[in-house]
Amino acid sequence: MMRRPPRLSMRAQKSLLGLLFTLPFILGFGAFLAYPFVQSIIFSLSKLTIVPTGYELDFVGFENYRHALFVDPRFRQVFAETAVTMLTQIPVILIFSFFAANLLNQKFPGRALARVIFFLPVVMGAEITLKMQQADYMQQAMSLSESGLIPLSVLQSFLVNLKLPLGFVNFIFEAVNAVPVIIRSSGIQILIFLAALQSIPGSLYEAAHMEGATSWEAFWKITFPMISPLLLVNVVYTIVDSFTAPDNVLLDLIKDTAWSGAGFGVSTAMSWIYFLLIIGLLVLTFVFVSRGVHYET
Amino acid sequence: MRPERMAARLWGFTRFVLITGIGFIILYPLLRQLSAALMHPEDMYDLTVNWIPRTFTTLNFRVAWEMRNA
Repeated sequence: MMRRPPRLSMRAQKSLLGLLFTLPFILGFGAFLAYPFVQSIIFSLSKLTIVPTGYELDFVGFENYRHALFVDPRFRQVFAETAVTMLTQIPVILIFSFFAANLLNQKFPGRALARVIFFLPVVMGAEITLKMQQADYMQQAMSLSESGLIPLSVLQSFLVNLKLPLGFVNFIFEAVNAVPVIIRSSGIQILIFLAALQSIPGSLYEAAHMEGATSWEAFWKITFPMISPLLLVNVVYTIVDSFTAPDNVLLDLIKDTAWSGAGFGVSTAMSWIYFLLIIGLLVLTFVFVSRGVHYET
Repeated sequence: MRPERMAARLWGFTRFVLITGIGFIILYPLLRQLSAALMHPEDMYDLTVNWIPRTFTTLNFRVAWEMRNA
């Protein structure tokens, strides 16, 4: 009898293929991340003291978490601020990047140049851009002198004098100040949406047009469902990106705590609290967003 | 002009304004750095100098080049 390799069902083949694609991550995680990952859990549950031969660990249970949440004066505030900023920025980044991708998908002269410029923040790297802005003491000197067409403070007092509610005016100013941040952190998302838009077959639109659909209907019935898998990808990417952003204040606080504050144990406990927030958010995203995702095939 | 063409023109203009505006916001820090790199230290502390250096100089580049291994 001839021996044949065992036949796998289509489904099994596909999941094997998926596993193959995730293999680099699994290997990398096992080789470089798993050990520090486990170690940080141990650190967060113990008191770490540095001794001449290295360090010593005393198991203290959840004392570090208690310290981070109820003793540390800054952690709770910075944690809440970071969470709120993240939750407000994610939808704005997604809407903006989708809008920008739609703009860049249209035909106009200089399109290639515009696409390059929109992707430039990614090439320069957020860290470099941030350093450049911080090193820009010119700009700091400028903001003292308030040059420009209309100084911002004048505009602000003008709007307040119009009897507009102060909260509203402040909201507008904060929103305007956030615009550069939003734009500069949307590079990858724009690229992903652009690829998604270009992968939609034109025949779908043609057929819909023939059947008398308006552009508005075509957008909600064709464009939106077709890009929804990549919308999920972008939500996840944006959450993770905000988690690792170089201007993340919470990460600075965690670093400060490790080296000049309450020590390593509390610092790792803080990172774990933050990490659990991110994980929770990602789980929620998967539960709620993936329900609405439409998969072709 | 037919209304459809008018609308297309109008949208083209709006798109141009949006893209140049967003492009400027992205390029702003780069342009700032470029203009600051070409400035003499004197101009840096001169508040009347905004974008265009009063004295163009490659001094900063020469200093940076000298310091590359220091």
